[in-house]
Formats: sequence, C-alpha cells, structure tokens
Amino acid sequence: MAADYYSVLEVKQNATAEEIKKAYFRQVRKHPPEKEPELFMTIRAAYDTLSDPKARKNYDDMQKHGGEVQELMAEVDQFMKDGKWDQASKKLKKVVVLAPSTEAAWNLLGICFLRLQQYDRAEQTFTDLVKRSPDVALYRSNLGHVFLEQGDRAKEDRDRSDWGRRAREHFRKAVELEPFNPDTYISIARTYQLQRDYENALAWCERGVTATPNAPPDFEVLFYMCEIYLIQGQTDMIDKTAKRIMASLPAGNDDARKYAAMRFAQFALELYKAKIYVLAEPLFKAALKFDPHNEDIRVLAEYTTSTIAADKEFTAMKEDYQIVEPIRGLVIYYLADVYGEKIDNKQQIFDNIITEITQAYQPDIASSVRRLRKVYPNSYKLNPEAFDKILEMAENPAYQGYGGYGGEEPYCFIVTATFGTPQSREVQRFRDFRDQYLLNNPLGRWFVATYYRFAPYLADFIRTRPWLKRLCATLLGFLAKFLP
Amino acid sequence: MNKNIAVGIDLGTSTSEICIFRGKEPQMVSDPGSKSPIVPSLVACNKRGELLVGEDARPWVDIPGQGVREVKRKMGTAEKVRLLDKEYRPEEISAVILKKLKDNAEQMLGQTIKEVVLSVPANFPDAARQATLDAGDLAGLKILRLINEPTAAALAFGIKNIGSEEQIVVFDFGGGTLDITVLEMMEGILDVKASFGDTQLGGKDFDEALIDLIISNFSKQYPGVSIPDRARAALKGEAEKCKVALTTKPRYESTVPSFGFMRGDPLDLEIDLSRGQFEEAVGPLLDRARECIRQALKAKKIRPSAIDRVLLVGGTTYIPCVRRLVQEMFGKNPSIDVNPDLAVAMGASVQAAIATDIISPEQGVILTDVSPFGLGIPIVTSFGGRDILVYESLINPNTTIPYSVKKVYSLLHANQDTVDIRLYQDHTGNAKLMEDVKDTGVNASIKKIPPAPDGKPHPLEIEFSYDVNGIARLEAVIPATKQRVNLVYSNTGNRMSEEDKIKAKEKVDDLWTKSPLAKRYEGMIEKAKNLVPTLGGDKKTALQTALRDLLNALASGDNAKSEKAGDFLADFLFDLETEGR
Repeated sequence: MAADYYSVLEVKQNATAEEIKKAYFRQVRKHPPEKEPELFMTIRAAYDTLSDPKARKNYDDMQKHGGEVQELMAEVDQFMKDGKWDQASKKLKKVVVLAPSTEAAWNLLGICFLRLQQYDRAEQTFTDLVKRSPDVALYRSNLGHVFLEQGDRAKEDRDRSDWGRRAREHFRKAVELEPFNPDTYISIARTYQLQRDYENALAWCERGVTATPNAPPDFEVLFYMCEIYLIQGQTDMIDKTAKRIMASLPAGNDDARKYAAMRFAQFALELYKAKIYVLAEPLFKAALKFDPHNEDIRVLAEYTTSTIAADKEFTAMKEDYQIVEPIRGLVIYYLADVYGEKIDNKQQIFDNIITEITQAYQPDIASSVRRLRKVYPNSYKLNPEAFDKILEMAENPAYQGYGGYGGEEPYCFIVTATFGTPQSREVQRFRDFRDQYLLNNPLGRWFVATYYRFAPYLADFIRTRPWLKRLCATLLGFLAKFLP
Repeated sequence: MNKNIAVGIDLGTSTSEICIFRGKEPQMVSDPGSKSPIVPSLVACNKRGELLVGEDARPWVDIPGQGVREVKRKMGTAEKVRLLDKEYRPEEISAVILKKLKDNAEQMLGQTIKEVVLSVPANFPDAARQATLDAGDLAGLKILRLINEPTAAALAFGIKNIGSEEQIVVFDFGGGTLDITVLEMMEGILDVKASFGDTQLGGKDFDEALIDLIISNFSKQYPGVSIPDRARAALKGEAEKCKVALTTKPRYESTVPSFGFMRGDPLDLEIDLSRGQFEEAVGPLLDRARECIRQALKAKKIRPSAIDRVLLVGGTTYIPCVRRLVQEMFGKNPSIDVNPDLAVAMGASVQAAIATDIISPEQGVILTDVSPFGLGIPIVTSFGGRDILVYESLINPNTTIPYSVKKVYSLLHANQDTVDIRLYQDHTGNAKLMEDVKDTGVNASIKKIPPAPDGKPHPLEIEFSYDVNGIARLEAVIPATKQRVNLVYSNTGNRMSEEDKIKAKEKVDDLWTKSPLAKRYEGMIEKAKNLVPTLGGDKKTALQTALRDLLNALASGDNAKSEKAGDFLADFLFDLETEGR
C-alpha cells in the first residue's frame, strides 16, 4: 500500500463517515487540484475508498490480513486445478472469514459448493453475491448454473422444466449485462433443452453464434447445436452445422480442423461407449469431414455404420426363411450385445443358441451363413470370425452329426473362445484412440457431463424411432425363446 | 486586456450570454440593442443582405435559407447550414454569435477582450467540445477552459454561499440538452460527483411537439389541406411564443393568416391551446427527463431525500410541468437561488476569475470536476476459452480529475514483435466492447520487440494520467527491453486542420463584414476600392494598407481598432479629396 489512507486524510481508523467527509474537504482546501494535482489524487483516492463502506471494509481487511489471504488464495488455486473441491472450500472459508468483502473468494467458494453438489449452499453464496454486485454477469450466470445442474440431475420432466425456468431467469440477466459472451447463450439454450423446447434452444444458439462482435461464428455454440439436432434426430442438420463450422475455421489452419475433428470424435466416442451407435455415427462422419485422414476415426465411423445397417437388415432377415432360426438368433444375440440390451442368463442363452446350431441340419446352417454373408453383410460383420467358424464347422464332415449330439468338451471350448467377445478388434481400436485423445485432456471431464445430461433423451429417441423400438422388442422376444 | 477582468460565455442552444467578472462579483453584459443580457442564439440575413445576430435576427431567422437557429445542436457534426448563397459549418455560425457577444462586452468595457471561459453541456461529446473550441478560435478568442454548464451554475451559486454545506443537484434543462449534476458543497469547495444527461433533449423538442400538435389539429380541421414548407418553418416562432405564454397563462390563442391552402384557397390557422393540451403533447419528453433523473440518482446511489437543494438552470425549467416533475422526483421545491438564464455565464466568469487568479485559491471557491467521458485501450481477454478484443477502461466517465492509474498487462505471446496502443473514448460508463467506444485516433506502437528469452510473453506497463485541463497522457513500457512510447490526448488534439481553420476564418470574417457595424464603413470602403486603381506610387500603397487595416480590424470584430482604422482611412480619403481640389 503506497500510503495509508487514514493518515492521508489525517483521521483516526475509527473515524465516522461524516468525519471522513469533513477531512477530505479540509485537505482539498489545503491542496487544491489545480495547484497540487499529485497530492490531490492521493487525497481523492483515500476519500473514494474510505467514503464507500464496502471499499473501506475491504481496505481495512486487506491492511490487516492481506498477506495471509494471498497465501490462502494461492493454495486454493492449486486445489481447484486438481479438482479437490473439498480442500479448496475449507481454505476459502478461512479467506472469507478474514476478509468477508472479497467477492472473488466468495465466488470460488460458490463454485466449490456447486462441484460438491451442495446446491443449497451454492445457491445461497451466489444469491448473496448477486445482491452485493448486481452488475456482475459472472455471479448471475453462476447462480443460473446451480439451477441448471439440478435440472440435469432431476428425473421427472416437470422438475426439469422448473429448474430450467429458474436457471433461465438468471442467465437472461447475465446476457443483458454481457451480451457478448456466447457461453451464456448456450446456458439459456440448455434451460430450454431441459424443457424439451428445442425451437427456443436453437433460436438462442443462433443469437450466441454471432454474440461476439468481430469474431468468427462461435465454435462452441455451433457444436452445442449439433447436440440438440442429435436429440431431435435431425442428422442432416448436424451435417449442415458441421459445414458451417468448417466455413468458419481459418483457412489453411490444420490445427483448427484437427481440433474440431477431435471434439466431434470425442463426443461420438462417449455415445459409442454407451452403445448409442445411431447417434455416434453422424458425429463420427462429421469428425471425418474435418480430418479425413484420421484412420482411427474412419474405422470407428465404419463400424458404427455397419452396426446401424445391421439393425435395418434385420427387419428383412426376420422374414427370410432361407436363414435358419438359430443363425437368426445368433445375429439377434450380437445385436442385443452391441446395443447394450440387458440380457439375463446371457451365457445360458448363448449356449442354447450354439447347441441348437450344432444340432441343426448342417447343410442348412452352411447355406444360411453363406446367405447371411452375401445378402446381409452388415449382420455378418457383427462378428465375422464367429460366422466363418460356424460355416467351417458346418461344411466339415467331421462335425456332421445331424440328430447326434456332438457335445465333446474341446469343441465347446473352441466355439466359446471364438465367440466370446464380439467386436474385439474395434474395442482395441477404441482404447487406442481414447488413450491418444481423451485421457489427460481436461475437456474429457466435460464429456462425462455431456453424456449425463444426454441420457434422459435416449428413451425419447427410441420412442420416436419405430424400427428401433420394434427391434428391441423382437430381440427380447427372440431371445426369450432360448431361455431355459 | 485588463488583468482584473475575467470573462465567461454561455453559448446556448436558444440563448447566449456573456458575463464579466470584475472586482468581487460577476456582472452580466446587456445587448445594446435589446437592452437584455439574454441574446437569442439566432443568426440571419435581412433583405439587404445585412448580417443580424440575436434579437435583431428574429424577423428573418425562419425564412428558409436566410437564418439559422439552434446551431449548437449540430456542433461536432459534419452537417452544414445554408445562409444566403453559402454553406457554413456549425462552428462558423457559432463563431458569429461569439463575435456578437464579444462585441457587446467590448462596447460596455471600452476595451478588447481575448481570454474567456466557455461553457458546454456536461454531456457534450468530445467532437462537439472540439468544435466549440474551434468556434472560439474563429471568433478570435482564447479559450482558457471549457466548463460544464451545470458546474458553472453551481459556481454561480457557490460564490455567493461560500459557507453552506449541502448536497446540490443542478437540473439544467436548456434549449438543446438536459444535464443533471450532483455535487456536494462544503467549506467553499464544490465537489462534483457526477453528471448525467440527454444531449438530445431540450426546449426545442417542446417546440417541435407543439408544432406537431398544431399542425395535426389543423389537418384534422381541414382534411386534405396543404401546408407550404415556408409556413411550417414560420410556425417555429409561433410555437415558442405559445410555449412561453402557457408558462404563465392557462390558454394561448393566436391566428396565422393564410397558413394552408385548400384547392388554391388560403386558410387561416387559428391556434387555441390550453396548458393541459400542451402538457399532454410533451408527456413523452417529460418521461425521458424523468428517466434521466432516475439514472443519475441510481448511478451514484443517491436518495432524493439526501439532496438539500435543487438548482434550476436553463429556460426550459420555467415550464410549470417541468418544475412539477423536479418536485415530484426530488420531493422538494426547486431553489430560486440562481437565475436560470444567467447562472451559467456568471459561473463561467467565476471560473475565468479563478483561472486567472482574480479569485485567490486560499479564500475563494474551489472546484473539483469530473471527466466528461472515459478513456481506455483495447486488450485481448479470454472468455470461456475464446480470445476476444475488449475495451479496457483507464478512466471512467465521472471520475474526479486529476486522476492517474498504473496497470500491468502482458503481450500475447513470447515472439510478439509489435504492440499497438490506441486510445478509445467511452460515453456510456459501462463500455465493454470495441463497438461501445469511439476511436480517438491517438495511437502509437512499440516495434521490433526482441523475443522473450524465457518463453513467457513480456509484461507491458501502462501509466495513465488525466489532468484538470482534460489532457490525458499515457506511457507504455516494456521493462525487460526498456522500450517505451508516449501518447498525449487532449481535447485540442483532433480539431479542424490549420488549413481548414484559415479558410473558415476568412469565411466568418467575410460574413462578419456584413454586420451593421461593418456596414457603417461600407460606403467608404467602396470609395477606397474604386480609388486604388487611379492612384500610383506611395499613395497607392498607403491607401491599400489603410484599406487592408480597416478590413482586418472589421474582420477581427475589434470595435476600437475598427474605429481607429476607419478614422485613419477617412482622414486619408479626405486628404486625397482636398488635395485634388
């Protein structure tokens, strides 16, 4: 501190507001601005600080505990970087006890509460901050996030709508204060997303895209729009939006394109991990547009494509009696697995299918597999090794035992070993990709949240897609047949 | 110029005043013609092409192309006004009004004046302030300082009430602008806290509202009537009369013959308006004024009950519904301690007296003022992972001046070799984006910066100061390399170019020679001009010199000089005449 403000004005530490004012005028008389500008500026700075109760309190606190507060804040910084919210909040509580007027500390404390899911305390903290400084957009927006996050976690539609509305009120205020911050527009769009009001969500996104003047269309907003299109199943719009992003990227900047590709691929991977292939596919395709030579993305894109195609093929295959039932059963089994259908007695069902295949008339099995490979290539691709093995066995006279039971132990062992892990090659691919891009990347954490808020829409997604619904039902029906 | 005299001028939208500070108090200068200190800000030419300023201009001013009203509203814009065959910049017309005021004061004092303090609305944008300074130059005046009108009015009050301790609001509602200034007075110090205003709201808008009302009534009475532009323009004077009458009377009645035409037949306009109708018509304007008061109180978190006194300044505050508004908003009767028409010019003269040490700083009133606008620089800041260019304020509007601040920034990356620093102006008080601010054109760069050896971008220190004269200085330093640049911004920095000014001065002087004062010498000048070609040798040169001296003296508007030069030329011509006999 350059000069002690109290001694500049020649007043005591406990001087009243009136005494401070009088002292200021006395000093101005002694050192008028026209004659002694330097001294006057110090006098004025002292008066500005000491005549504002908030600023005076802050000044007093900092005079007393400034050093200690600084040390604590440095520790807080590290804890927060490491995501140790609990430890950070303990230190922050000390800071606000020493210097209650430090708004920055209160704000960080609010964020810790939010991360710790202590929503009531977070709400209280940000509400106080908003009351103290109604013009700071950040506090408004953080208060909005307290509600938005609770909305994300709510199960009932009605609760989600309510949280959304409460959150939006604060984001709207933040936008008024800071119309150029695209993140706030995304937040508002998310409140509409909670209410399933996609039209408004997209409208706010469009405003956010151009919110920052003199800046290219905002990537984050456009990217988020893809998420909404995804929920609505408007895959053509994802394609169009990807093109908008492409047009906004600086020409000849490979890094920017690779970054965009990575973001789309990461998002797709989250959905892939959740076995939501139908949604992962358009995102992989978009990622490929940005980075066409990325082999990992290409393989994943192809795999999702063929999986989806297998679903579609299945509708036709169901009526195709040139394929014998146990083979159809195996296709369903893999499909169910690919889609993450929860199957009880999984191993037993699988064993039953295999048993039925081995007991069937082997030339029928062989011709079924050949037909599968030719007419339903995507279904075949669900596990080509397994179908090839079956074909080999069916054509091999050694196993020709119609009516007879070929239940020798080694044979069973071989079959299980081969059939056990579908898409094993792709799983490996996926792991490599994840290691390369996702881990150790701070953005990775964001994706966990993305999936979390995405999950509630999956039920809707299936509901609005009859073929998918039918498939699920058929799968379960078919499989039930194999239950003991 | 006498060292014991200080001069202040209020160059207003509808009226202008000049005041001299002599001895211990300000003294208004009355116009020799109208005998009133209130000089209408009107400039016109009569049928004979004579230039008329003030009350004399009134009969001609509303004839299209022959007169100019409210030129202050155009100050700082590129808009031109037409007077007879020529187009003039607003500062040129303003200069003519200033010359008239200067002329009045010189006649009263019997000596020339040069240094003056000029008042401007507190929220006058910088361009308009610069144009005002240019107008002063063109009128041959040296502007000691521009003072904000409400501050000036408070000074006029303060000089007489040096012992009071109170919170004062100056409600300055003039012909063209509304300014609300909050100040605190204690121990003879006037501490300005803040000024807020609407630069596009004034008494002239009340006139416009009246004109619209009168015309709409007339058109309703005679559907399909046609009103010539000329008649519409002539209604300005009528509207003003009506407004003034309704401040004291409940009704106003008047007739304008042949105002409109229907199928070629002339129709008389019969005006019959009640105060209630007038108040209804200006309702939206009052709403704007109300909003302005609210903002002023809100921004400095001032409770109306904490205000001890409301000073009314400007002609518009005579209107009863405006007074009611002030009373309603502040909960107290406005004060009649200063004359709404004269306080600003008086305060300006007080400021001139302070600036020239006629009033000693030990005992006299002291004024602290605030910056009328903010200044800052563009910086790159990170917003949710995006880098965007934003406005970084170095001084906010309404900051007490003088003021200084030191801040440390960083270059964007370690290999950045050039940094550009450019000053922008903020009139809003909460500008955040570059869209919200105006480029001052003042900039400088540090070039050829060596790369930072440790890979961390160089820090850049900015030291900024703003002094009482409105001059801002900025120094930017990269401590590691000792490279530095300086910027100076002053409200004299961005004005008319010298070349433009010389041309403008010629035009103003030329116009001024059409004034009645100059007309007095017209015959003699013509005679001299005709004589020049007939003469030879020394006599020719001498006559040319005498003629030029008179023209220059007339152009400068210096009465004493003109008279002297005129007498000299008269003697010269007389000698020639008698010699020839």
